[in-house]
Order: sequence, then structure tokens, then C-alpha cells
Amino acid sequence: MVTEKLRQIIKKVAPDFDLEKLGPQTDLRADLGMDSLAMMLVSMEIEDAFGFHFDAPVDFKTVGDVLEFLKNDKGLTD
Amino acid sequence: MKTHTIIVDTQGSDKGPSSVIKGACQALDKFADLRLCLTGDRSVIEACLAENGADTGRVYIIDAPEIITNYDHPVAALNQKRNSSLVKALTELRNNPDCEGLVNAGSTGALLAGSVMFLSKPGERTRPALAAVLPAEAGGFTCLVDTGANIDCTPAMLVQFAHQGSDFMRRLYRLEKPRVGLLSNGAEETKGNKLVKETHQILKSEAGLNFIGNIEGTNALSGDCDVLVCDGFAGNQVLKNSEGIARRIITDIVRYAKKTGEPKFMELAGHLMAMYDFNSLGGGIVLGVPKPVIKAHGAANEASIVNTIGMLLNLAENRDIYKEE
Repeated sequence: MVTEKLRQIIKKVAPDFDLEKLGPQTDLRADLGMDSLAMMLVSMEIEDAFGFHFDAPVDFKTVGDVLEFLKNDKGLTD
Repeated sequence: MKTHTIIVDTQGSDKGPSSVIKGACQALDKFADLRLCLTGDRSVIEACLAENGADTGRVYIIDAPEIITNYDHPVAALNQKRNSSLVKALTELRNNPDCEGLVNAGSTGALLAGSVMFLSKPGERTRPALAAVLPAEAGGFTCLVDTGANIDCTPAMLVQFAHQGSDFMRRLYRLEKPRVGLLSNGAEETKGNKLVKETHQILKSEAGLNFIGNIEGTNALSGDCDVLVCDGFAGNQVLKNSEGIARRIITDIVRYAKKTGEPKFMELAGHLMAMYDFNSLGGGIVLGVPKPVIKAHGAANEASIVNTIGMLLNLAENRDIYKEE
């Protein structure tokens, strides 16, 4: 559930990326081409999807980092 | 008379707040239906309004002493500088239904990020683009999008810009099917870099667009298309090169006028200056957000601020541009 929601968020913000290739090692900047504006959009979509608010701007490196944060800091898992 | 309330962020400009406030005062003189909300340092604004003899009955101030600069990280600054003039301006635009638009001459990144963060509703957020509406050789206008908000683009982003620009021109100028061109180094569809070639193939079959093909740089302002799509790097070059070439030609005409003592050449230079100087053209329009937001040139002078406010009044009078269909 968490992973699928995150996939949908990434699909929305980076529609050119082939989701089949998406994995925990996928680098948000290097592989998905996200800049700071895209990162902001992702963080806002995450807030809406999972119902919390980031206290400060986030700068996740990989998809795995996002999943790790959702699991460890927010207790959200599949 | 119905009045239109426009918010002017007085801080962040290269020339400091006094130039922006002076421009705002001149706009009050020029547009009788204008009401202004000025955000920034109250003491500076009040002093400048008094100095310029402004009609303060049509002005209200939101005190916001903090400034978001070009050196700040845009998203971090929007979160941390809650008393900045930009955050206060965006909050007022979002919360006050009487406010019909915002002018800002500061950090482009912060304005773009802030426009999405404060104005767009959840589920409706899209990546914003920065458009310039330029006078076309054939008459009418061409909307150049993107002009610098999105430097590295993907085909999907250019397709989104095509839709945003097309919607904007259709609603603003009542064009039934705005002609959309793609900036390239040749008119043939085989021309272009990887991004342009891939985008061309998508645009060819994209529903809801009147795609007319590639447009070369020489025809960027010819009027061959109503919307010219490109990545922000190329668009910024088109814009700045056009400014530079226009300035060069006007300077040459002025020199020639001085050399020959022929007043008609000086008159011509003045006419061209009024048409092509960036200060005469207003600012870049943020597309993809639900209320009008315009980025004035960082080095905008008073005249540019007046013209940018004039653009916003025009958008305010055509409010259906921002309504959902």
C-alpha cells in the first residue's frame, strides 16, 4: 500500500520514468531527474497521501530513503 | 467603479524596495481602478508612499520585514521565513478573495515554489512554468513557454507547457485553437535534439492541441504560432537574446540619429524602445497556478512595475482564465 502510493506519486511528478525500473536504489535526482521544485512537489504529495506534515524541507536521496522514513519515522509499512 | 486589488511584494528586487514602491505609486496614478496591497517593511513603504505623494486611500500594507533572497534555498526559505514579504503576499493572495494577483521581482525559484505551495490545492498541483507574452511581427502575441523556470525538461514537461500555454492564450485572447509550435533548429520534424524530436512525436498526436510543428528561432516572434514551447534554458536564451538584439538595434539608431541630427530617427528609437524594452513588456506569467502571479524582471525599473501591474489588471478583468471549465 505504502509502496504503491509512492509509485503513483512518482508517476505523477516524473511521468517519463518507466515505473518498471523503480526500486529502492532509484535515485530521485540522478535517475528520476528531479530538481528542488520536483522534490517539493513529491514531499507535498507524500504529505497529502499519508496525512502528515514535514517539519522542514526534505531531501531524500533514493526511493528506499523515502520508504525507510515512512517506516521508521511514521510507522507506515506495506 | 469596480476596483481590482493587486498585491505587490516590495522586496527582493535588484534595485531595492524604493524602485518597486515608486512603480506602484505610478501605477496608482495611471489606473483609477487599482487598489494595492504592499508587503514588506512597513516603515520603508510608508516613507516611500509619502515621498511619492501616493493616494494611500487605495493602499494597505502588510508588514513583513523578512526578505527571501536569491541566495536562499527557495523551499527552505518559504518554510522558515514566515514573516517574509513573499510568504505574506502569497498567504494574502490565497486567503483574501478580493486579491486578484501578485507581482514579485525577487527570487524566481521561491516565487514558483511558493505559488504551488500556497495557491494550488492538493490533487491539483502541477509543475509551474514561466511564460512571456511577446508582441508578434504579424500582429497579435506569442506566448513563449518556458522562459526559465524549468531548465532541464523531459518530453512530458514540454507537452504540459503546450497545454498550459494553449489554455492561457485561448482564454486570454479568445483564440479558438491556438497554434502551438515547438522551438527547434529546423522546421522539419527530423530536426532537433533528442528532447525536441521525442516531444514532436508526442505533440503530433496529442489530443486538445493544435500543434503546427517545429518553429525555428528566426521565426520565434514572427507570429507563425500563438504558443511557442521550449525548455526553460532555450526559452531564456530566446528572451534574453531578443532583448539584447533589440537594445543593440535601438542603440545603433540613437547613435545614427545623433550623428545625422535627424529627429525622425530618434523618434523611431523611442517607438522601438516602447515596444521592445523589457521594462515596457511587464513580467513573466506563472502558468499552472489558480491565481495570476507575475514575476517582474529582477532589474525592473518603475516603468516595468507599472506595466506588470497593468498586465495583472488585464488578467484580473479576464478572470475566467483561471476558472475551471
